[in-house]
Amino acid sequence: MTAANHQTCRSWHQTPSLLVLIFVALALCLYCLPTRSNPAMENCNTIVESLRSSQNWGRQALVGSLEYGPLQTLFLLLCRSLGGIIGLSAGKLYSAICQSFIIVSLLLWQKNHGRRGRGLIGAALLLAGAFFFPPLRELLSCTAASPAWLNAALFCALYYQFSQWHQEQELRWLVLCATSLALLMLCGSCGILLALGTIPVLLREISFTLNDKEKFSGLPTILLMPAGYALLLYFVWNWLVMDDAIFFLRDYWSRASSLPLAALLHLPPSSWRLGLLFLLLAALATLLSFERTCKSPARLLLPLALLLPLHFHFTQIMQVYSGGLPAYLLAVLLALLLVLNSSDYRLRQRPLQFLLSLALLYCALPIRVSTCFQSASDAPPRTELTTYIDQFWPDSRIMLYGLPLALAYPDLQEYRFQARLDYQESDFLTQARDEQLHLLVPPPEGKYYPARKSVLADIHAHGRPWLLLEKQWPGGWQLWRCVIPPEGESKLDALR
Amino acid sequence: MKLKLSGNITGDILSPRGFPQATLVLCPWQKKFLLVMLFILLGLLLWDWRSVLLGINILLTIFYLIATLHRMFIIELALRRPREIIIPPEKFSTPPNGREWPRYMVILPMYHEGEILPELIAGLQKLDYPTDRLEIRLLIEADDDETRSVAESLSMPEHFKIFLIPPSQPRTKPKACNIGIEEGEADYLVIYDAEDKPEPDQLKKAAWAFAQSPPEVACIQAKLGYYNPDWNFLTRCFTAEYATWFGLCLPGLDCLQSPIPLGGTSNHFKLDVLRQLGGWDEYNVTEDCDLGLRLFIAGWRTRILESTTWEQACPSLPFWIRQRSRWVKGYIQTYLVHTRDFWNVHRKLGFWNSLHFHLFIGGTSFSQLINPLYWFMTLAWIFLRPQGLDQFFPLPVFIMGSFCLFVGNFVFAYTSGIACVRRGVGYLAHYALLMPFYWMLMSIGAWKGFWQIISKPHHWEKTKHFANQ
Repeated sequence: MTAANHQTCRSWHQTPSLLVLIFVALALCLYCLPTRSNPAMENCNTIVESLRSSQNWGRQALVGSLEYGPLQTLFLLLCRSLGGIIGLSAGKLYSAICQSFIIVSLLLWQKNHGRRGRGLIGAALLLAGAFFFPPLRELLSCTAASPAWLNAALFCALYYQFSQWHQEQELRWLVLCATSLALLMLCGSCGILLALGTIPVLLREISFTLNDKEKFSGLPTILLMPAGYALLLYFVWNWLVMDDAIFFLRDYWSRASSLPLAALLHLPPSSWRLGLLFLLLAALATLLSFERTCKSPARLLLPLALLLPLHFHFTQIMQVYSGGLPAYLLAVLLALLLVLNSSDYRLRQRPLQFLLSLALLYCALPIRVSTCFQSASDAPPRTELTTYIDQFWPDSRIMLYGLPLALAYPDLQEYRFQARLDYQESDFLTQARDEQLHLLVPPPEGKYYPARKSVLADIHAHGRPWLLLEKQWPGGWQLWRCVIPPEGESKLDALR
Repeated sequence: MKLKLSGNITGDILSPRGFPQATLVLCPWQKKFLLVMLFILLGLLLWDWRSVLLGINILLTIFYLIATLHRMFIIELALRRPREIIIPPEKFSTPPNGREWPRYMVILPMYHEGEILPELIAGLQKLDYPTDRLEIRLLIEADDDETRSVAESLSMPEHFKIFLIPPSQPRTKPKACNIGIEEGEADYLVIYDAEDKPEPDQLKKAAWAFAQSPPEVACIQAKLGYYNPDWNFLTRCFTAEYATWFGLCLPGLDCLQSPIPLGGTSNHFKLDVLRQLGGWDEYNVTEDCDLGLRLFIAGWRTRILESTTWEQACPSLPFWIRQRSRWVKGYIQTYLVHTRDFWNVHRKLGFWNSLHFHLFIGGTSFSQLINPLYWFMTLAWIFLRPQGLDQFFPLPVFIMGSFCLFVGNFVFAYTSGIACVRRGVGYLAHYALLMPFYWMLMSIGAWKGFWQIISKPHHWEKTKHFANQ
């Protein structure tokens, strides 16, 4: 990097007000674009609304689900609370803030680490194409408002901060990297995977760069402590809210462990395509990691390229939200920026890099993957359920267990539907003594609950002595009624 | 000419030497105000104790939140814009004015330090400064036969002088220092403790720092560190705490050009300014902190110098608690003394400096005092889930409280780790995880100090220094 460049970079840092202005202007522009919320964002929004209504399942979903990380939900809640004051859409605001954060970070990265005139123009064109050119924007369905933008923004921040550390070796940048890692950890399974995958690369790069045991001393602690603490918070919060410190792991594991091996080995066409993309990305990152000037940032892309496809594949089969597409898109962008900026011009490698980049773009543009939960089309409509129940048991409440079912039948007053993430039989029976309850059990196909070794699958197959099957829909949905009458409503009360 | 830097000159009990001193803990209006507040609080508690407790909880939660955000801001500043004065070694070959080095006076107040005196003399002889421009004064209490006999038995170079301090009340370190500087000529003065090991080039660095700084800089504070961090758990945590204070907090305040509560030793002064200000307050048990504020209010500035004086971290818990109790007592004294002229002090400090004053001088001690209450409530909430506790935590308070609990506490612990790395003791960074246990000890010391401010406000809890292991 030349002294002149360094001066320019300092001028960026010395004008935070200008950065804020650019950030706000970009966020406004992005907000005004006709963006839709993807189903994942709608689900996250449902959790936020339930939190605002002080519902227990909202609190449970905040801490007990790895699909939607606590930080994503809390950030959306913040957008909902602040945006709501001036009538802004929370989901769009959330995405606009994250996307403009990414753009500003990339601009800063380009300004500080890129070669003048090359990457900036390329990146600007690419970003303009991705965000503002409607056909391309339509193609990139993953630019829709999605909770995963926060993952991408945090990874981008991490990327920028680490590049800065690599250049200046100031402790502050490492502290910021550690903070970004910790925040990523709070972004659900995808964030945790990204953070865990990035940590070894960071540690190796730091140790390699400093090449001095004394200087390296304490840095792993500084880097790992916030991330470890974030992980610890999952356990503490689960203990406090779910009364089970490992609920979030147990829930995720029960879904994962019930998958048949054949399903894991079967690759749907979208997975093939993603796998190919990530292989290309990994190849490009590997190639770039031999370039003297960008080897460190290129290596940071490797965890993205290697771990995200596995996560995609896995979450697709588990039918849960993968939450990583924007991060993937960001990785593609970063790789392209690196290609455009790699200053050591090697004649033999350069054409290969460009060919790989073109192939990457060609595969990336038409990608559409939506692995998040969407209510099944054969799910009984809520009016049908309530009308049916009201014929015989007016005002009986329907109990729903598991996050997908809670998201499918949101009820802000919990008047007709009451959801929980954990099935506690004793609690159900206690509540049944106070009021008439029904239980809705979806078919055991792995979408709403683990197909095997789960209580709901067992109820679906065998019922319970105190449950009476009232209705079964052709798709396999079952409506059970609790036959324990509420206290004071049975002639047999005297026998209790 | 001999100045008078002790005793009652003006006849005013609150400011016997012309500036507010800690002769009395509370001035009349502070006493009345506290009594009235106490009565109002008791009355309100009798009238509606729930609402009063809720109100107190809201205020304390807001205090915690502001203290957490303030600490984050200070640390970020210290990391982003380090402003410590760094003097490169190549400058030491010539004096700042190109002709001769400024005259330096070093004072060392000591009491019952005979055991470590030979080591101290040996350490001070390593100071890299022309001896004809240096005077080192050992301030020994006249009735401290132990230290006196050891000092007299040692063969010391000519620039070492023994100064006997006649017995008088109060028997405090600042009183000895004041008597020690009443006469003699020097451009600069530095105070060291008996167990200190300053970096040999510190005086030259400070002389250069003064020469490079604007004229309003009257004090240069060198950083303090511990040379015995590995003795036990206490010394490790104490090292981490000192690293945070001198490596992050004070540099952060320096960035803001705010009043800096001076550390007990390694303060380099312009001697004439120090005398003009009346020296240290002999009634204040953290006279250094008080002096830092008085310097700022009088229009002088303090800067931080990138040079370390190595001290001994107290390895014994009873002595450590005594030392801590004195610090907390002194901070409370300083806070009360400077708020006597409430409006005037805020006018002179300005809004932001007033905020730093309240948070750093008042807030540090206050939080150490109230922490046990909140730890108890947190543990009760987690393990017992008592009915009714939630009525004191409505949603906004709960959100602020949760932030302080889950983020604030971590930030305070994590900054200790950062400070350890920054101060070159990175191998202690993981002790940041154990800082909450250390905070409990701090609170014990704080409560002892709080009790002493009522029972023995001027009692000097002397820190015992141990011979090197």
